[in-house]
Amino acid sequence: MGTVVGGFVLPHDPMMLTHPDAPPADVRDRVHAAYAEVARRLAALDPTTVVIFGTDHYILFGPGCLPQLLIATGDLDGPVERLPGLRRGPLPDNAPLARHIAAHGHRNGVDWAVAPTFTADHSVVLPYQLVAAPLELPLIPVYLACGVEPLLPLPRAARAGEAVRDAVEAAGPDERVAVIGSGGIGHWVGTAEMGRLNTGFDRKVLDLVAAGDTEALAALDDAEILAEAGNGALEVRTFVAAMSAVGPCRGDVIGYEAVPEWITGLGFAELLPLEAADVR
Amino acid sequence: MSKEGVEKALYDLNVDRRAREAFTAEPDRFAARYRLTGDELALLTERDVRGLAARGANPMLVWGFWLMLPPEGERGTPAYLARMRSDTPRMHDTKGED
Repeated sequence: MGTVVGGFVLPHDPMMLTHPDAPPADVRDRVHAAYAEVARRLAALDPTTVVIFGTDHYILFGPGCLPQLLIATGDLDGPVERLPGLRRGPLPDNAPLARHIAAHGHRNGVDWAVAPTFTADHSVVLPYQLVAAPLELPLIPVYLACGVEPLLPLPRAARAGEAVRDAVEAAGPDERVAVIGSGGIGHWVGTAEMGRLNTGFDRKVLDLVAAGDTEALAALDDAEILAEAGNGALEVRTFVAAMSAVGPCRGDVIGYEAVPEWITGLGFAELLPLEAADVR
Repeated sequence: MSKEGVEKALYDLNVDRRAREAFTAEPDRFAARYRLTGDELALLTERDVRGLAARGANPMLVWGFWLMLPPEGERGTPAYLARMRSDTPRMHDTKGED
């Protein structure tokens, strides 16, 4: 059977690219060092494929069709946006495994929308390029409705992660899958509060990640998230999905920076399956 | 008055160059295509981002609209936030009918 060998949570802040010199140099250096550490740890897992849980920013999906859960099952490219240093181009896929995950979900009550051809946005491509591209890892993008109503209910984000794990475990034994939950923690996107941060909320989320308390994270109330930490913090769904995909785990926080110049609380953690965490 | 129609127009303006060209060249014709009211079209032509947000348009769409079609002499996020935080209500700042 296949295995989810581990996972990570990390941010995908495009302002790192559009305004690279806005924060103080030491802050920038720590953020880039955190990505480099994730890349090092990802390589150490020796994965065959990476699943990245991303979030649309009302760029990929319009009012004509707003999927709750989407998996890309074929040809990939991206990013769809023009961002400095992130040229749009083809991305390596693992279409057979992606199709298997979709079909397995459909047989087991998970209504994946599927995209047989797909152009990802920065929430998938930015982390892919920073941590997985050096390994030339095949990529499976999974999108969760985090930013546009109707939002994917948080418990269903957990179910999506479980569905990925169940499908991987029902796949061939050679599949070693790493998962990444890609999202900022506290941030207000496009609202009058943009630039405001809430380090207390960010720390609370990272504490739950460290404790491996997926249930508590999935029990957060959207209205409270919105009020305390902004519309961007609804991306915590990607963390929930990644944690659920790893299964029982604890988190090892790699880094945290609250960066008002990049309008976001940026948190990085490795998700260690409990058996692996016991060894460390 | 349709939030959905406004969001559809904003989405297309954000992702489709031809929509931006059509909006810039013939705003009234563009508005007709999306069944926008005169008030809704004014929110767009005046880049009244605060008014758009007050009508319930998704803030990511509103910010994207500003970045793709900034008004003359006002560019970037600081100018956007100045408009969003303005204490002076613009003419389309409150919910209501035409």
